[in-house]
Amino acid sequence: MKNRLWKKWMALLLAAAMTAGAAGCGSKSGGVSENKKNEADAKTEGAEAEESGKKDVTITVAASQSWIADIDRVLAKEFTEKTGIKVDFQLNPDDQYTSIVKAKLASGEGPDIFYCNGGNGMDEYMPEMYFSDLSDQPWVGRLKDWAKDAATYDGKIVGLDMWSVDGWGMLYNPDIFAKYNLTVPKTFEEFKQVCAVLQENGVRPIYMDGVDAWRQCLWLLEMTTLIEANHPGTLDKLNTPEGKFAEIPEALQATEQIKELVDLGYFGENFMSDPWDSAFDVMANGEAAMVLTYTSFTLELQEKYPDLGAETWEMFPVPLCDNLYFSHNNGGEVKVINKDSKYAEECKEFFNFMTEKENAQRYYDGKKNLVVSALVDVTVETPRSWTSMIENATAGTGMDFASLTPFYNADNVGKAFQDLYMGGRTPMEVLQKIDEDRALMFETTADNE
Amino acid sequence: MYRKRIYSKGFLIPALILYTALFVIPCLISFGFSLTNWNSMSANIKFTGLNNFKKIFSLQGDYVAAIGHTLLFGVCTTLMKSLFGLILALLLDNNFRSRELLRGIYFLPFAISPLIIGIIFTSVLHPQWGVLNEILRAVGLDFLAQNWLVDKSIAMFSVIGVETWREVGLNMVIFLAGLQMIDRTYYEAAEIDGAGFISKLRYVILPLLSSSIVVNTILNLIHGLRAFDIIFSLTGGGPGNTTEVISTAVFRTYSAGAYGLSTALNVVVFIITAIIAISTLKIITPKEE
Repeated sequence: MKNRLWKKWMALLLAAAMTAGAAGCGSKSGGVSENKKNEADAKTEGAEAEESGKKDVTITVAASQSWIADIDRVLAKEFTEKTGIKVDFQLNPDDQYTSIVKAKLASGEGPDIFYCNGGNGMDEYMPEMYFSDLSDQPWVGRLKDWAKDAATYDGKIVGLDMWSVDGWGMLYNPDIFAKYNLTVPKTFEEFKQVCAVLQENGVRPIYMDGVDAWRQCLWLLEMTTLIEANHPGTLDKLNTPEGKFAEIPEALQATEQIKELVDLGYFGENFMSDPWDSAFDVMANGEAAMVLTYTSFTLELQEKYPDLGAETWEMFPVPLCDNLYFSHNNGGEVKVINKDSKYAEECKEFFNFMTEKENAQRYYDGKKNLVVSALVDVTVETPRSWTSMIENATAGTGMDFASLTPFYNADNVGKAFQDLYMGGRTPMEVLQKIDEDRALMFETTADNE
Repeated sequence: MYRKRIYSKGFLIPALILYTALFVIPCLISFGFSLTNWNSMSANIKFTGLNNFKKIFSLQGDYVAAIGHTLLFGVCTTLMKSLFGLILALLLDNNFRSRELLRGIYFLPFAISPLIIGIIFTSVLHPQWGVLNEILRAVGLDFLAQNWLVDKSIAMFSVIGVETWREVGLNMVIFLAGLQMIDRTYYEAAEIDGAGFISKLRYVILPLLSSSIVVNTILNLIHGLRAFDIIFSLTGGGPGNTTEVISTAVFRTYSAGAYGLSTALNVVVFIITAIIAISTLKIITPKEE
């Protein structure tokens, strides 16, 4: 009897242990530290650095892996050569980055510098606790207004936005459009006609990858400026628990039209199995004529397929609800200095180095996905995809839900849309689901005040 | 009988201390957090009683559906892994030339990372150019070619299939170990009594394999109920919420910043796993004399 009781308790404890094991968020295991392998060398260099008056310090920079390019490493290396301060990039997979950094910050092991989405994207990292005030830094005066807005919290500049404004729209292959005498559609009906012609000729009208949930939230995201123009004050209302997507007529209409595009087969027969990574190949080989993407996509496409001529490809706004607005983000990624960092001064030195005019110019020249510079004295060669988008957005431009509306969670919104595609939810139920998920987060955070 | 054992109970202490510090205490703390509104937007944590559990069991069925999917996944994978593991073990318990090689091959998937298996099978099960559909079409079985990971009615079973393939080798090894413990004279005696394969299986093999069956069932249930990596890499819980299990819901909820709620979900997994594991243990363990 005693033996059996002991067994029971052991089973219970084992189950607990396994559950705890499954739940562990592994704050230490997620990142890839690029400098660890050179630790021994670094020590020797450090001793030399001290002798020459340079500092023997390593600052850690956490970022999502796709945010760091070769030019970041080149500039970091030059910074080390100049000051002796080493820069260790800690990179994490895109879809886990936020969780890992938040877990590290919460456990007191936060990096010295970390990237985060600007504007309301900063809120989820608790700026009042973890962001240093950088308002007095010399580069602040050279930032463009949108870059200042993106990095402002509670009236203070809390980060360095050296990114770009960008947004989503329809990129099309001009050769295919010319071949079938197609022009840029301005209404949803015209858009459907374009798709019908393409489909009749055996060309997939739109490459839309259904596997990745986050991609599915983008159609509705591009309706932001139209909705605010038609119903001023909607965005303010969406900042409160009272604001509901289900009550916005254009949100419903856009969702119904997405379902119509799916049912007409304009996304392709097996689009639910297609991954985002294949978009480049599919567009380059002419299998699809359009793709919902960001404006700098053409620069990356050009790099992968230099003979394609993608630099001349054009874009137009997402034409659901006859939309002619271009909704964009509020400045992409912002670098912030952890308030708890022992090396805040060294981090500021790094920011100063990065924003020196010559370095900033090289940074933007080397970063192919940035189409607009955040610094007034640095110029970027704007791709045709961006300028054509601005030309075709005849109604105007504005910021998108992701930048302005709390809890517009790409993954949750996307999953509701995946359900829509498969007939699991009606368009109204999709919007209600988005509202429910937001209500849950509003409720969860409401009691804190 | 055990009074003269060499080691005293004191030797248990270091292990127990580690176990308590690393597992028991964190578990208790997580129970505490499940009763709070802990979230990424604020440093303040407020006690909210059973609110998180109310949300789990009331939210338009999303989390409830995830619990249902978890149970379906856990039970189906347990049955299939045990069944196919036993069949393989029985086949490979015989003496033939390639026996060792085949044992190795069947065990190999278990040695591969579930994430890698997920990535491989995403390609294998692709409706258009996936190997599985290509083979089916090549042999004229076009009607069996499916949207394995996309069709709402099939996706969960595809994931169950892949998980079964991955872990069947482990079950086979445990059953093989059990089979090799059975004295061959039992088989001979049964054969002399005129027992065929089915009778031998029923009256000799299964009763004597009971401890292996218990081990496999409990391990399979625990693995199945807390499965995460294989589902996350194959479908990410999608399409929609079709293959969402509690562990993927925990990840999604944690990523959204609702830490308290995701911890409450973990407590739900713990309770379900503990209840099912203990009851199964009690039901299928042979009665001790």
